[in-house]
Amino acid sequence: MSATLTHPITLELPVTGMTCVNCANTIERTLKKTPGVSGAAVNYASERAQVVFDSHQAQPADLMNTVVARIRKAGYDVALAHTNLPVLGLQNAAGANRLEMALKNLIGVTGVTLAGEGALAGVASRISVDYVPGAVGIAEMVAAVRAAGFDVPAAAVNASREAAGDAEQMARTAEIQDRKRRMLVGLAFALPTFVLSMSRDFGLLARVLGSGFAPMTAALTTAAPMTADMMAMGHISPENNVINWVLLALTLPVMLYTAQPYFVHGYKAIRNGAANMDVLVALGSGVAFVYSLLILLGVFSGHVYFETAAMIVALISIGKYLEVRAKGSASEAIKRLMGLTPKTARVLRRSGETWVEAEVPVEQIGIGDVILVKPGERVATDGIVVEGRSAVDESMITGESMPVDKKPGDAVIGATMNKEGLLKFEANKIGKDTALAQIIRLVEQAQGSKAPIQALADKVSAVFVPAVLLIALLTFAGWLLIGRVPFEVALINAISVLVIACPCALGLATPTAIMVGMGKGAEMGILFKNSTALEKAAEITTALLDKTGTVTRGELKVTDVIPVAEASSEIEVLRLAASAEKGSEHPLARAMVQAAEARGIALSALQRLLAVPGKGLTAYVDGRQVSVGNVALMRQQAVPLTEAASQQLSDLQAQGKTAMFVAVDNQLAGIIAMSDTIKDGAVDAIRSLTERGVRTIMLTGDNARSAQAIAQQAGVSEVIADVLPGQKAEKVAALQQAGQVVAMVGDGINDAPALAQADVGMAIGTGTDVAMEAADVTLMGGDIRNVARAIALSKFTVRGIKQNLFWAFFYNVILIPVAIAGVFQQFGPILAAGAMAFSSLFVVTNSLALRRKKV
Amino acid sequence: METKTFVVPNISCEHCVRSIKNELAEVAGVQSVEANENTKVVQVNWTAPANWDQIKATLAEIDYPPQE
Repeated sequence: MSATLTHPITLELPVTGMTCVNCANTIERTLKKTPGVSGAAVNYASERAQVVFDSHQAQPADLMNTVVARIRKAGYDVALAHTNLPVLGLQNAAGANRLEMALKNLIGVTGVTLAGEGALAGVASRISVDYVPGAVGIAEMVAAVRAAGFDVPAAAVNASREAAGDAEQMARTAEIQDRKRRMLVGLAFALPTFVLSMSRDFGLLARVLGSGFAPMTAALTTAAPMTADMMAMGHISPENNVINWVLLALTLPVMLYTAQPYFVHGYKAIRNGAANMDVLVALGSGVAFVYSLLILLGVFSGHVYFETAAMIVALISIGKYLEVRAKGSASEAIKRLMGLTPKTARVLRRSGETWVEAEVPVEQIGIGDVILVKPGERVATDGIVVEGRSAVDESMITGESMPVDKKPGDAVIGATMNKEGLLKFEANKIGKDTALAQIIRLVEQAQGSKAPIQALADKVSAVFVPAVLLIALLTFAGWLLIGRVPFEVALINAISVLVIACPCALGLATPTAIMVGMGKGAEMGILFKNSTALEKAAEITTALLDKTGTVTRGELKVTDVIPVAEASSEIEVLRLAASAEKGSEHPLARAMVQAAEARGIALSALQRLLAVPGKGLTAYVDGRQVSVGNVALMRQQAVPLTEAASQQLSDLQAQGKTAMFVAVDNQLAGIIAMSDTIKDGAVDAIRSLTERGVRTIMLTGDNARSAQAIAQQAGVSEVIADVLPGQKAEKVAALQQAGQVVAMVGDGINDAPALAQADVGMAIGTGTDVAMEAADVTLMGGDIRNVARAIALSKFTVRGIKQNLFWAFFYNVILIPVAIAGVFQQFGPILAAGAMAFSSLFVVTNSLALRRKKV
Repeated sequence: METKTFVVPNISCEHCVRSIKNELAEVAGVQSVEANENTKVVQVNWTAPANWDQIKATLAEIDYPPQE
C-alpha cells in the first residue's frame, strides 16, 4: 500500500554543476518533460530548482528519484543529504519492508537501505536514508519510523540532527581539517629536510658524521647496493648519497600529499591559459623535485634541491591554512533568517457556527486562513488585517524603528512583531512567496553571484610565471646556441632558473600581513570576516549608508516642545505629556519620558490610560485629562485647533520630524516634536569618507522628506529614499554595474541582501545578527567613523602585502642572473638556502613591524 | 542523407552542447549531431522523416536557435 500524492506539492532541490544561464533553461525543460511534474523553475544564481509535483500514482520516493535521475542525466547533480538512523524493534523481513515503505512514502526521501543484522540480538539496526535537504527533515523521518511501530533512540536523533545540520558548515570544517593535516604533514617532513640539507651544505654534518655517524652511513650504503651503483655514476660521496635518499624519503610525503592541491589547481589554471600562485608553486617545487630525482638517479650530476621543493610547499601550506581558517561561512545569515518566523500560528477555523482556534505549524498555513496574533507574538506569514487594531514593529524587515499602526485592510508582514493589540489577519502569501522568503532568496543570490577577487599574489604570479619560463627558455637557448655548451649543461642552467625563481616566502606574504591587519582591526573594533574584504576595502569608491541605525541612532529624541496656550510652559507641556505616556512601550512614549527625565522633571502618576491605536492616547494626570496624539485624536476629543497650530505641526513634519499635539482638558496645550537623531561622529565619519574621495550615498525606505533632513545634518550629499526592502541590493548592483566598488553599511535584516551583494558589506555591531552574518565586516559599537578607518586599514594592509611580496621575490629575482650565468652549480645550494631563509625572515619581520605601525 | 553545418550563437558551455545533442537525437530521422562549444558550430546529419524545418524548430524551442 504505497501512498500517492493527493495534491500538487512544490519542492526545492539544490542543483549543482550549472555553469551558465542556459543550463538553468536546460534543467527546467528536462524537468517539465518528466511525467508527474507539472511545473519547474530553475534559478541559476541560487542553484535551486523549484519543482511542482502533480497528483500522481507513483510513490513519492520513486518520483523524486526519477527527477534526480533526469537532472543527473542532463549532466548536473542534486546535492542530496544522507543520514544513518539506528532503529529499535526490527524483528523480521516483513517489518523491514514496512519500515522501508514508511520512509519511502515521505516526500523528499530518495532512497532507503537497511543495514546491520543486529535486530535479533536486540541491537539497533541501521537504516541509511538519502533525502533532499529542506524537503524533509530528521524529525519527520523519526516520526515515520515511530508511526510504523519502531523506535529510534533519543540520543541518536539528536546526533543525526546535528550531523545533518548544515552540509556547508560540515564541508567548511572538513576543508579546514584537510588543510591543517596537509600543513602539519608538510611541516613535519619539510623541516627535517631543510635542517638536514642545510647542515650538510654548511659542513656541519661532515663533522658529526666524521665522529660517529660514518660507520652507520657506511653500513647503510652497503646494505643498499643500488645506491652504490648510483654513486659510481656521479661524483657523490657515499655519505652524501645516503643523505640524498633520506632527503627523497622525507620529501615524498610533502610532494604527494601536501602539494597535491597545488598541482591540481595549477593544472586547471594552466588549462584555462592562466597562471596563478598555484602554478608558480607547482612549477617551482615540481621542477626542483624532478631535477633532484634525476640527479639522484644519476641522469645528471649536481646538487639535489629536495629541501627547496619541500619548503616551498610547506610554507605555502601554512598560508593556505590561515586563509581557509579566516573564511566566513555564507550560510549563517540564511540560517538566522529562517529562524525568524515563528514555528506555529494560531489559525481560526470555522467549525459549524463557531470559530475554533488551533495551533498549527507554519508550514500548514494555507492562503485564506485567518490567523490570530496576540501582543508580543510574531506574525507568522504575510497577510491582510481583517480585525483589530495594533502597532506592529516591522524594523526587522523594513529597518525603520517606528512601529507601524495596523487597522483592517492593512498589510502585515511575516516575522514582524505585534506590539499592542490583538490582530486577526488573513494569510495571502505563504512559504516561498513571503517577504522574508524573498529576502532569503536575495541574500542567497547575492552570495552566489559574487565574483571571486583575484588575490594580489595571484596577480603577481600571472606575470611572473610566464616571465620566468621565458627567461629559462632563453637561458637554455642562449647556452646552447651562443655558449655552445653540451645540451645537458644548457638544460641544467635553464632548470636552475626555474628552481631559484620560486619564492618560498610567497605563501607567507599575504596571510601574515592579513593577520596583522585583522588583529589591528579587532583592536579598533573592526572585525573582518574574510581576507578578501580586507584586500578589497582599499578600492572602495562608493559607500552606501543605511539611514536608520547606521547614520542615525535608530531611536527617537524629543527635539521641540512648543507651548501653544498662554497658560502652559514648555516644562509643563512636557511634564503632562510624559506623565501620560509613562505607561506605554511605544518609542514615542519612551522618547518623551527620557526627555522629561533628562530635564529633571518629576512625573506625576497617571490614571485611566486609554490607548487609541493609530491616533495616540489619553490619560488622567493630576486630575486633568491629557491627550497626546495626531489631528485625528484631537478631532475625536473635539479639541479646537487653530490655523497657526496646524501650520506649526506641518512645518515640523516638513523637517522630517514626528510631531504631535498635546491637549489638556480638551484644550490644546502644545506641540511636541521628535525625530531620529544622527549619531555622534556621523558628521566626522562622512567628512573623512569624502576627504578620501569616497562618494557617500544614504539609502532609506523612509520618505524623501525626513531622509533629506537627516542627510543635511550628517553632510551626505546624495540620498536615495523610498527604497523598498527588496530594492537595496538592486541599488548596490546598479552602482557596481556603473563600475563603482561599493561598500554597503547597514544594520537591518532588510539590509542583508545589499550587504551580501556589496563588494564589502559592513554591518553595524549593534544591529541584527542576520546583517552581521551577511556582511564581510562588523563594526563593533556602531561607530560609523570605523568605515573610513576600515578603508585606511585595508590600504595599510595591502601596502604591507605588497612590501611582503617584494621581499618574497627580491632575493629570488636577484639570483636569477646567477642561474643564467651558469655558476649556479657552484654556489646554488648556499644561495638558494640563503634566499629562502632571508626572504622568509624579511617577510615575517616586515609583517611584525606593521603591527607596531600606526594606520 | 542530408547534412547541414550552422552556428548556434547561444552556446556558452559544454552543457549547452550536450543538451543540443540530446534534444536533436530525439528527433526521428536524425543520424548524428556534432557540436563544438568553442566555435559554436553544430553539424547535423539526417534522413527522412526528419527535415530542416523540424530541426530548426526543435532548436528554437530549446532556446538554441541556429544562425543561418
